Amino acid sequence: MKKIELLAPAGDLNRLKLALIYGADAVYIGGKEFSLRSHASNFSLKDIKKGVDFAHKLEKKVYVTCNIIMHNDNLNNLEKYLKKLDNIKVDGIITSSLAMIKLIKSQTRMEAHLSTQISCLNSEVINFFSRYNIDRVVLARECSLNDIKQITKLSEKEIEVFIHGGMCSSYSGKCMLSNVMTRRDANRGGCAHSCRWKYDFVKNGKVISKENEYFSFASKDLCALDYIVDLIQAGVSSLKIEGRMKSANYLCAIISSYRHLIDDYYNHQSLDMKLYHNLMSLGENRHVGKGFFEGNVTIKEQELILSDKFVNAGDFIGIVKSYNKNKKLATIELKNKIINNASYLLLTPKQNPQIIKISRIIYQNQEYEQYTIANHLIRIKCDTTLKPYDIIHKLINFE
Amino acid sequence: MNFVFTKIKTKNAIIKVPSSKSYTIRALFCAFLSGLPCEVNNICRGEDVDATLKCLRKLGAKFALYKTKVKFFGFSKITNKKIVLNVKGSATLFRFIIPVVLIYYPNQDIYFYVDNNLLKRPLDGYQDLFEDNKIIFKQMNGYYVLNGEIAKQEIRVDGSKSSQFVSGLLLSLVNYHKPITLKIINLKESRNYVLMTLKMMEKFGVKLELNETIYFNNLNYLATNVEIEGDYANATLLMILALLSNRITLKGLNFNSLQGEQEVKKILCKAGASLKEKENELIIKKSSLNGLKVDLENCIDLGPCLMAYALNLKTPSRFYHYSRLKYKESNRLDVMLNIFKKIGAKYVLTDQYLEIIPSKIFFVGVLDSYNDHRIVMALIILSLINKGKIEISNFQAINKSFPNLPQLISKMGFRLKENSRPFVLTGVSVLDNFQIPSDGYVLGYEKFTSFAGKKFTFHEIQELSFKYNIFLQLNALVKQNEIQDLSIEIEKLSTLPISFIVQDIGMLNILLKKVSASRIIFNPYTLICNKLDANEFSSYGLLCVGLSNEITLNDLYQISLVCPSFLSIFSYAPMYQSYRQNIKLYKNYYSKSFLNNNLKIKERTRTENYPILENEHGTVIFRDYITNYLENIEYLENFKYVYLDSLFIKPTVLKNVAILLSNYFKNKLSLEEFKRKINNLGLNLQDGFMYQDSIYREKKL
Repeated sequence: MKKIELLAPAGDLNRLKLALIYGADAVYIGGKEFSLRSHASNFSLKDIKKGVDFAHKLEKKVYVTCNIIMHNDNLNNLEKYLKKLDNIKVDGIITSSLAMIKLIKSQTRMEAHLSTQISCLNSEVINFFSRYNIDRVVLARECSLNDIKQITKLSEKEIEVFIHGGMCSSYSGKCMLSNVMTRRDANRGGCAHSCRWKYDFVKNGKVISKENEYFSFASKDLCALDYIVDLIQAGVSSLKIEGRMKSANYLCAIISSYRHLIDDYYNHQSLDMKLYHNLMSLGENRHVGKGFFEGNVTIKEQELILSDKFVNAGDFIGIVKSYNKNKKLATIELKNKIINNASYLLLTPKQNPQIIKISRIIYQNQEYEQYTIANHLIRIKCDTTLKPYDIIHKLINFE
Repeated sequence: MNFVFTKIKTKNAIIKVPSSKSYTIRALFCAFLSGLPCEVNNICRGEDVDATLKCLRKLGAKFALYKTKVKFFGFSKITNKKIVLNVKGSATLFRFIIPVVLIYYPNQDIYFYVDNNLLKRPLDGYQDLFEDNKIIFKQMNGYYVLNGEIAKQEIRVDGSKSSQFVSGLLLSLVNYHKPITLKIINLKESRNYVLMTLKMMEKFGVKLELNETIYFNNLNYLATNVEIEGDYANATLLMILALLSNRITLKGLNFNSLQGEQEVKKILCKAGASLKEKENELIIKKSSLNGLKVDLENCIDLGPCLMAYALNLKTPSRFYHYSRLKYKESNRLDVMLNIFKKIGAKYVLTDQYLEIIPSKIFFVGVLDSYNDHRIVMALIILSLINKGKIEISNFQAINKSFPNLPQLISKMGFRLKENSRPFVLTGVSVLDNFQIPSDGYVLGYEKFTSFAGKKFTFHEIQELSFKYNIFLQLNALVKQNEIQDLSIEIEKLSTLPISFIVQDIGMLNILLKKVSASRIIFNPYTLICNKLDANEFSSYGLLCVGLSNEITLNDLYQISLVCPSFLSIFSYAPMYQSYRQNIKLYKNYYSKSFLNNNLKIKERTRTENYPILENEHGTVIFRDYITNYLENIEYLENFKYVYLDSLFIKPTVLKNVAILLSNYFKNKLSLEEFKRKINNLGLNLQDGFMYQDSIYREKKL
């Protein structure tokens, strides 16, 4: 059986590289055109090419999302753009447009993946699109584990399932809240997250909800760690992590967690769920739930009861750029305050997290007891051998 | 040209039947062949007759054409000029004119242009004539060339191919310069057409008996004035319309006519029709008939109209000798049977007969005439019988014999109009909504409807479907574990004469397997925003494709030009659809027990109240205003269907809006008045996204 694909998002070239190094088998990215997530710093063609070359060297893949619901004005240059992506050897396109699928399959060598924007909830949707030779279908997030098992059994197409990250409260592609209330079209990348706002119930012109009992119908993020084995056994082809706008730290932690689980499963190792959850906690910045895997959501999956979003502010210290073995000095790109003589957690692509201690902080030949300016390249002394792309994280006590 | 036939309000009418095309063409040939001053009165104007006159003029006829009369002055032979004849789509003309040309213009190249839809080998019956006389008849690229002369003293013709070959020779051999013999073999069916030819020749002074061998010796056409009698095949359409609706009085028919189609009177009377001959008038009253027994041998042109009519009779009808239907302007047998299959009508075809079983017909969509005027007529009858709405494409074929049909039947209270306005569908939230004038009604179903004005049970829908044109709003999104149940429901619903409006693509896929695509409107609300995608979905032959309420008026207009489109033009449009039971979860969490009816939500910093619904399919939130496209109705003419929703809209308001729209479409209300009256209804009407596109690409943060 083909090993399941772990598919991760990437908002820029740096995160693309990190995602692949930390264990994603493929990444999906947005181009400057036709892509949702207008806030995500989308890729220019030049960057896409760099990303594709990087991925292909590692025998990994790059998919480009072209998943906006196109209006007439968006149709210009569509074919040209797709051909350009084909020329730079992009592996596949994620789209919700029937017309685009037809173009991809007739004019390019790329794969066509049906976006979740279509709300594919059943095998008949796949049957409909099979006429167009699509290669893969991204299922709607509303599918239960049983639905996924059945659909996978009935479908000859590759099935991709969301396993982690943000959940729309509405069926994807069907939500006009943001568009109606703020003129920002979620289907073209402008979502204002109106589902997270506070609402009151009104009857006969009178508000009937109490001040502290507001109505919000946003969803908690999804975490499918407990369902990965089921999904592998169901014959799902790809496991997708959401979040093209998420930080490098978040990505690496989440990818790493799923990577360990998947590899352990395929290597017939015993599964250390605690470790995977611990790894994940390094990246989590929002509360998570089970989504629809068990059927319709319960109150535990609703954000209604948790207005205080917790954010791991300051947990991500920096990324290692290089390491001098003789001097035991590492150059790191700093993200948050670092303190001398403190212990930190080291996250690496391959090994389990370990504790490291640092004993010097140097910026431009000057020693510091602490340093705070983000994005500066500083040097730190650390006896443990560090490698490029290693992540230094605030020390936390795992449960 | 696509036309739609509708019943406005039927009334008693006195109608002069259009005259016989067959007699008109025969009379024109006789008048021409006489070479003398003659008058042909009350001619049947139409494409075939017009083509005949043009060809005769090319051959040297001198005449003046009036509205319904041709005055011939004589003949002068054409010299030094290439003769090019365009017989258009008239097989009669083509076959009549060949021997005339051979006699008048022997041994010179004569060129013929023929419409594509004329049969592939239109001159088979003259094979013996051509071979015996070494006449060259060649098909070139797009035209024919004829060259030769009649040399033999005996001509053989095979009447089994068509009586028109026999008639053509009878007409022309009169003027052959020497005595000549015509041997007719195999003349069985359509013998009466030959008798009609002889009858007309007799009026012009040439008296011949129809035998297997006919001698032509020293015969001459005389100068004559003739009056063309009414056409029974065309009258048949009017008779059936009368039997189905109201009394008419037909004038201009010859009760002792030789037209085979006059048999229609007997056929209908035997089945119980009330037909009265009174002096020169035939009076037909509305009646309900038993099945017909029709022998088409001598009245083949009655076929399509009577076949269509047979669907609405009390018992099955049988048609004998149907095979010649294949050799008319279209293969009328195949065309009619295909139409029957498409609309779900039942029939049995054996070698001996075609049996048509009365069937309740519900069909919405386009049916093609195959450019055959008799099929147009059959489709008009089907339109009257049908519960749905038929659009007749290639309606212009009617011009062949009955160009003034729309004007004539408007006297009976029917309307035949080019389809240039959208069909209007109206949502039903209370049974009273069925009183609203509408081309169709949109109902929810007890299962697989997420939101609709009102949900109905299968039996209620079944009952309503025979009275009204029903569109079932199956707008739920379907989970995998519901697919089996859905298939069963669709199997059940597919037997009803209804159409479907669906959102889920999986549901669309199941429906495409069970019912004709022309019964499906695919309306995925937010999904179809550009012409390429719209076109791609419509390529399945769907009745139409529902466009998003979130694109600009200009985009809507552009898409409606390229694909049959559907739009909610007056509705509280949904803006959030979720599988989550949001209200229930909230109520459980805070231990609340308020009812969900008339529930709205309000964002804390805003004033708008948004209607919210919840059921087993999940939660739906709607806009706080009616997205009103009526303000721009003139830009929506190309839409195929527009929808007036009933959800959250008071039945009285909906009724007012629908009546205003209906009056506007009937030209009873000017555009300005219509808009003014809509705005005076005092509703929260807004433009939505008609003018302002969304801001979707913000500056990079």
